[in-house]
Amino acid sequence: MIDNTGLRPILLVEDNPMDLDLTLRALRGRKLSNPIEVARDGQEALDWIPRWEAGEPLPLVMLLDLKLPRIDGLEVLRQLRAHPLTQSLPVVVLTSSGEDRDVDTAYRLHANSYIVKPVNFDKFMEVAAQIELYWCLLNHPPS
Amino acid sequence: MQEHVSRPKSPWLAALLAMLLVLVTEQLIERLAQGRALEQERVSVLTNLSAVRARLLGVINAHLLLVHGLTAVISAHPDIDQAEFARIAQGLVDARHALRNIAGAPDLVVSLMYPIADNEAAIGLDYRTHSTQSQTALRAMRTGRPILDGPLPLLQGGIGIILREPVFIPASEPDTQPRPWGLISAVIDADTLYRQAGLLDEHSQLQLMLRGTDGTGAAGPVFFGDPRIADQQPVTLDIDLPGGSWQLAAIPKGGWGQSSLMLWLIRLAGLVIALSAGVMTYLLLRRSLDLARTQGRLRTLLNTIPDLIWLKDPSGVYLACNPRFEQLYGASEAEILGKRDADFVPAEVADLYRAKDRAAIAAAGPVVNEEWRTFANDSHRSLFETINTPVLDPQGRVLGVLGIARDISAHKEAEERIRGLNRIHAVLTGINGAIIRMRDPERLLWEACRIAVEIGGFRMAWLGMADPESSLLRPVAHAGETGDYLEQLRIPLADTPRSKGPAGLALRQAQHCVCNDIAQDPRMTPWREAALALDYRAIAAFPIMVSDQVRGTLSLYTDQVGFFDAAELDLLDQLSTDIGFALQLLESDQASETLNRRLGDLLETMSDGFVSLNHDWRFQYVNPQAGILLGRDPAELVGTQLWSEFPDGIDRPIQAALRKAMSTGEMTRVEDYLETQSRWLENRIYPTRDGLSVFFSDITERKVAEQALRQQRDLLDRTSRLAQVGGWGFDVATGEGAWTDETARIHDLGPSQRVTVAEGLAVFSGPSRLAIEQAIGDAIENGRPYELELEMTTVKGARKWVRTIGLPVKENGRVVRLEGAIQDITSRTLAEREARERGAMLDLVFQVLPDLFFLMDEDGTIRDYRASRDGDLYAEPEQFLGRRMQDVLPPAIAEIFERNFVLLEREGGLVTYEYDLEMPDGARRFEARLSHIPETTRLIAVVRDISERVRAQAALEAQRRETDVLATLLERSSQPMAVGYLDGRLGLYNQAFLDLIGYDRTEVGGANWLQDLTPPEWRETERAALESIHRDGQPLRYEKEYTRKDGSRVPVELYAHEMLSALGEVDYYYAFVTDITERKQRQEAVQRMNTELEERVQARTAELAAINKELETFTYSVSHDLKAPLRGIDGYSRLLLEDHLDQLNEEGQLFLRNVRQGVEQMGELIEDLLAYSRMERRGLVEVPVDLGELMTKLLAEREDVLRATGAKVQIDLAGLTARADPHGLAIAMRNLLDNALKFHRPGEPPLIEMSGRAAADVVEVSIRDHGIGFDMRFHDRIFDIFQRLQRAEDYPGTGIGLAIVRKAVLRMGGRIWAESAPGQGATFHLELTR
Repeated sequence: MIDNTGLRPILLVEDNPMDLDLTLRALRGRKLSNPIEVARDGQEALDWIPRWEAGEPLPLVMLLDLKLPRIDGLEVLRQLRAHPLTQSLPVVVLTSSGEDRDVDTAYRLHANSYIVKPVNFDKFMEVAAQIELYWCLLNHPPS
Repeated sequence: MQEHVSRPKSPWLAALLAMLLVLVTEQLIERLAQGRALEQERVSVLTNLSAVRARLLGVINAHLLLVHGLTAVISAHPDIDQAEFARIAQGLVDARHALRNIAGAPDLVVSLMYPIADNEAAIGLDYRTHSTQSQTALRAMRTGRPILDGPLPLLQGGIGIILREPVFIPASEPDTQPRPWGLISAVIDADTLYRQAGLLDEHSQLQLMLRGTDGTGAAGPVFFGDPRIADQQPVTLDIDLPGGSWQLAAIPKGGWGQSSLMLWLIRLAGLVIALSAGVMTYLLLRRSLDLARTQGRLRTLLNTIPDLIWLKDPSGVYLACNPRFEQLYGASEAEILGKRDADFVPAEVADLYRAKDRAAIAAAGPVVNEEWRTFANDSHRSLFETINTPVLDPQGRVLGVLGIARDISAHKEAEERIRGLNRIHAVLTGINGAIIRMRDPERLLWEACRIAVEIGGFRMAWLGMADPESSLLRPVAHAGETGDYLEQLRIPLADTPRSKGPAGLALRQAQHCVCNDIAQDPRMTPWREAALALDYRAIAAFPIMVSDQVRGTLSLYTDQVGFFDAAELDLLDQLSTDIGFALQLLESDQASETLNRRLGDLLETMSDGFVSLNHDWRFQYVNPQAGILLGRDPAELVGTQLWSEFPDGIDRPIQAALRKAMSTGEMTRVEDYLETQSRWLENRIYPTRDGLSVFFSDITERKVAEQALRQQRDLLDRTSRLAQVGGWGFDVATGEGAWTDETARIHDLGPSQRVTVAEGLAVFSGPSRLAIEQAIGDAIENGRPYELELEMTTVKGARKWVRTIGLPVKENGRVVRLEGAIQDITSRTLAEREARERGAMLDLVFQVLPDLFFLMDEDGTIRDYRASRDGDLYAEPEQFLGRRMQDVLPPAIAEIFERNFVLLEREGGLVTYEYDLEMPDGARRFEARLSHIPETTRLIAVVRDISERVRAQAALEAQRRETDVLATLLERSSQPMAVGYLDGRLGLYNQAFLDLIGYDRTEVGGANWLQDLTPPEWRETERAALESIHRDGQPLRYEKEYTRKDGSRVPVELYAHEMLSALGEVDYYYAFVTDITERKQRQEAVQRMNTELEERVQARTAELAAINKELETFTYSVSHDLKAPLRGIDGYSRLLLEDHLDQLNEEGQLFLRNVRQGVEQMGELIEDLLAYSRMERRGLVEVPVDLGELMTKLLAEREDVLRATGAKVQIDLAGLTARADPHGLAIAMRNLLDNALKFHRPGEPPLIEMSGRAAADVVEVSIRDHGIGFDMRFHDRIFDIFQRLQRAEDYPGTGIGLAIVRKAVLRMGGRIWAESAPGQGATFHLELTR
């Protein structure tokens, strides 16, 4: 259920500190009040599952990098989809890779969207803004 | 006559008299009124109660029938088990019925139960010993009738009525008693029963009571309703039940006499009137005695009463009467007074009235009687209750007789009606009892009629059934006085005037029909006279419905006009419905019983054997004939197992047939021999629900006859075959007929009975055909028989000679049929012909043979000669005929002849010798054969010129010598060779061959080249090689191995061929063999090297693949990891420019912008590198791609660029397709298009032309631009990665695009090249497979 008093967070899974910083800047630039949670690798991302089971609100969307230490992004996605709580959690893959193989695998694992991070920061800002606009304002998430 | 009237002397007396009169009248009225009200009430109660009783009986009967159905099932299946019992009972115990449970007690011990839940306790109950239930149970078994027990409280709670029905298994033998099976006991829930019967209806106008627990009837205890009802003169009806009866009693709700307000009014009015009459009389008389003495005053009072009132003096003279009485006698009071009854009515009636008057006087009080009086004014008859009261003076002297007559016709009528209804109730009860009791429909119908007449008081009752045979409604039962009424009824079923009587109408309209006055009703015209003669006054006919169809009618006759009214008809309708229902029930019972009995009779008396078998092959029934045929006692067989009783049948056709019928459920027929009885039986096997029914009959005689017939036929057939004579016949009109097997055989046709003339004639052709057609035509037209010898050609192509004889058969002077015989005379005809031809042939032989024949006497005198060529003769015929051989030939030869004549004379037989004779054309050698001609004294000499043969022999000899030389050469040749026969023997072989296979000459004879010399794995190779030689007729070279004598192998190459015999079959094979051991060794060495080489290549390929894979991973992650820092650099540069602009001077800002531009180029470079590396790794598909469509799509993608640059693109690729990977091709074309757009001349919009052409298996696409072009020196470099010909400032780019194009095209197996010159534009050519 959407908690009307507190907004559901965005979960950002990103290991690269610069990408993380830039992404956060891009997302916060929109002045949206949704809190942003960060996981720095695949394991940290998966560690959220018990917390959600304990009742913490599910994020509106998970922004997932693929190249991650410990457990890579595709494996995170696979495990999320195998778990009843998170099998319909919106997951947007946000990665440098535009490889067909990665795209195919991500969609086979029911990623909701696959976005290649542009090198150009202006474009990156634009992409981040669109992600936020779409997933936090327009999309109607599963409860 | 007034002077005769004695008048009361005192006003008191008069007043008293008046009061008395009024009070008497009032009492009379009151009594009548009270009686009438009660009667009406009782009629109403009775009618309601009848309905209740009918419903109750209906519900009870319905349950009786349910249970009866179950007993019928059990009679048929005495060995019913719980499962089956439950299955059937389940259909009975449901919400619609009041049945609570059903128990079955075979041998009187309860072992079957439905439902079992809550009733477990009852299982095992033994009726023979049970304290409370054994009595009724045993009574039911003893009487064989069902018994209804209860109501009684149940262990399970509630009140139940228990129906016990005994079950008997029908006797299997006639004249024996049915065997008792046990008891079915059903518990009917009393409350449900009452509710279904409407006893609990709150709106009922009745208070009900039921008595007679356990069928004890009116004497039994009350079990339903208020017992006090019994003391309140209830209306009662008996209910006949199995094993007893109940009594149903009812009073109106709130008791009798509720509607008696009227009575009080009458009483009150009577009192008032009496008092006022008294007072008035007294006052009147007191005031004026004269007035009081005038009897006319009384009339005022009397006029108010609608009854007849009169006053007569003791002598019967009328003193007074009221106006109503005037109407009776049809005269005015003045005319009546002073007269006597005799003046108005017949003397005997008058005497009767007089006697009543006297009786009243004698009794000194009122005398009541009933009498019929006929009104004179309108001649209607009414029944009157008359009260004659003597009128006394105070001294007790009789003054006269006061008569008051009250019309009680209506009252009588009501009484009659009650009586009538009661009778009909009795009839209904009686017939319902009969229905429950009787199982024979005919007896039931007679009983119904009897009850109607004897109990119902009808004059006559008859039951008719529609009889389709006579098309009449046929009376089948009747009772009462009929005279010959029924004989002349004749009511047709069809719609005619005679079928319009009540019975006919009831039959056709399926509803009752009433004729309440036979004398008047026109429908009764045909029977009126006869009916009235028998005092039938009214009739009602009721349809008898069986299974919703009108089956007949019940007609009831009464002597009372207008007898039938609605209440009666309702009850009688109920009665006819009950009869129909009973008939339906009995019919279904009886139909199955009759069927069973008939079936039983049929099976018992059938001339066929019949047995029924169950699924376990046990006999369930064996009829007498089966016993006879099987040679066994049927009674003994029943219950035994077929295969144990008749083991001989195992593995015979009968077993197979029985099993087949049992498993497939299909009727099967089989004939088989029963050895133990020496009988042939024909068996017809019908599968049934519980096994098989087998009918069989003895067909031994037929079989014997068939066999005899077959033998006769065989004999005839053999005889006619020996004579080769066949018969035939055909019908002239149809051309169809038949022939015997021999005729068919002569025609080379299979045996078939039916043939046509056309088939018979088909074998003749040419002159034979003409002759036979003419002969047949002649036989048909002129009746002339024929006999012909003809040649025929059968369907198999055999030519035969036949003699055929045709005999016309006449009927009425016309030939209708031809019959005849046909005989195969081929052998005889041929023999004759042969003899005829032999003479001619002999001459021919002599002419053909090159020999000379001389016929000579014993001494050598030449008598005749034959010579094919005269040139072979040593001398002219005229010189040697008649002369001795010795004298003609030269002396040396003559001597040889002479010597051989002697030799022949001495030794007989054949003497052969040769001689040389000098002929004109040179020396010739002759061979002579000399012999006696048998049974003559003559000699024959056959002389043959053998010069040629001698010469040939010499040539042969020479050839043989040459062959010897060749053989020697071969033998000594170093080339091994051998000849092999088909059976594996070796023919010729030389020493070299022996050396090769390691055998010596003495041993090789036993060696088989197919087996011993050829190892098993080579035999197939050899066989195939030899087959190929034979097929192609060419020698063949092939390799194989030989097994040498010491077991070692030697690889050889054979050059083999076959030698054919004169018949074209393989006579033997011969082969030149080469030892190829060394060649083989060399080949193996080469092969080994090749294998090694291949392995090395594979290893290298694997290494390369690994390196490629590694490189790929490297490229992939480097490219990706490169992008992240770039994004950082760009991002933070941007942030610097954005957030810290004020801290940067212009140069700093320029630096940052350059940093960002560098990042952008780096990003593009990485993307292109990735694209290039992807192109390397992509998996490709190959499908036809429409090039025009592809380019149109690519142009659409670049629409923005095209518009921005004002580019013009012309495409001429229509209809061209290439086999390519669509995605790879798209990448290549996209890059080429981008290239052409990019390198346009500054200031000019790009102009691009695309064209293509298809060759045999390739398609070439050319993309031409009019841009800056390039120097062809750099042609190869432009396709290399990172190669650029232009400065990045002028033409930005990564230098990877064309490398990607080339990679893509090469991977698709295509080619790419370019033509250009600086400033002349460039054309890129792409060649792809089609």
